[in-house]
Amino acid sequence: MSRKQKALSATGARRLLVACWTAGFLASLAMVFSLYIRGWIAQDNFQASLTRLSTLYAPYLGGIFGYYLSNRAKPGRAYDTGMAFVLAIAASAAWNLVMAGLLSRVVFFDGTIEQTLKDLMFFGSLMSWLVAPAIAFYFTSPGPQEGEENP
Amino acid sequence: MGKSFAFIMVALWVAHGADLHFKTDSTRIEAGASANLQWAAQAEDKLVILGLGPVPSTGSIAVSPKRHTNYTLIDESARGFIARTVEVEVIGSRGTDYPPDPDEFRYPVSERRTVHSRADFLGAVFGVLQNDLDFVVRTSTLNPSDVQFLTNLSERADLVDSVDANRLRGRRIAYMVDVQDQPSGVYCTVKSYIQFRLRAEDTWRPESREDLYQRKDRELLNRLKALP
Repeated sequence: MSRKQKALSATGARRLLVACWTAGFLASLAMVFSLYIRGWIAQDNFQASLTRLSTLYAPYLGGIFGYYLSNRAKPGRAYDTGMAFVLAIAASAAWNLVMAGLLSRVVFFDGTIEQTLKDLMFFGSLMSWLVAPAIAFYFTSPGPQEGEENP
Repeated sequence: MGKSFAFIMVALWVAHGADLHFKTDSTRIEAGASANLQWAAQAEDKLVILGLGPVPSTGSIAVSPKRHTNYTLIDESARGFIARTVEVEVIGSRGTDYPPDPDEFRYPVSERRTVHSRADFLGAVFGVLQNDLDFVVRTSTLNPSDVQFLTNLSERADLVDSVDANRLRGRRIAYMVDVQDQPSGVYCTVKSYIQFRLRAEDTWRPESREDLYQRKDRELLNRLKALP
């Protein structure tokens, strides 16, 4: 594999991770807004839902965006696209799927927002032990630097 | 003359009330246990325990309520009716949802009507609420000639019309029926308290649609008017 191909793939990996979290957050926001616009939840629960989503997503989305933007200015910096990336993307996908799945129960089935907010907090906290180390491991595992050969 | 008459009427009313005794030997019982209700009144009076039916002028009866229950004894005589209420609390029974505040009941509608027997009429009102409409009914006596029926909050499918069907999970209603003894007959006042639940929520919220309150209050009052 050429040096250029490897660098592109590392950038793509970072983008994929950012896209995963952004899409998950936007999907959750869209579901909450759709509930409110349709009149299925009142304003107090709408605000509680937004606050809960913000609390759950802010540490991850904020951190990932922060790393992503700060490292765009350093073209030579690359990240491990091997096992660390696989772990990070798998944990991120699982976390986002669970969050979106819990909310979709209210939108498409017979769930209630109050119970869902409790479930989001429960599963969000529970899975943070899986997601946070995986993402931290990915961003702290440097890939090949400029001038270095990949193994 | 007028003052003397009023004084005599009040004295008779007080004396009449003083002759009515109604008590329970246990105000708190375990689920499945019994409480003994005991009463004594003047022999010529007509007595009815709401929910249990007519009873002799003196006696006792064992009751085993499944939940917190108020028993109201109505003593009817030529002078009108006197009511007494006792409470029996069932320890560990599942709670029943009642409106949190009596002031929440809205849009009262009233009707005066003449009845052959006040005690029978009160029994019939209780029967309509408990047996026909399937509410849990709690009775109380605000004063000896004023009986109040308070129902639990009960979810009703007919409270959700087609306009609301997509937006609401349900509505529930509680009634407060006040029956007051007056020389010219009995005054019935019906008030209700309605809550709704949005489709994606567990929270019950107070309903503000006045037309809904008025329709339901009028429906119940018409039903009570049709009682014999």
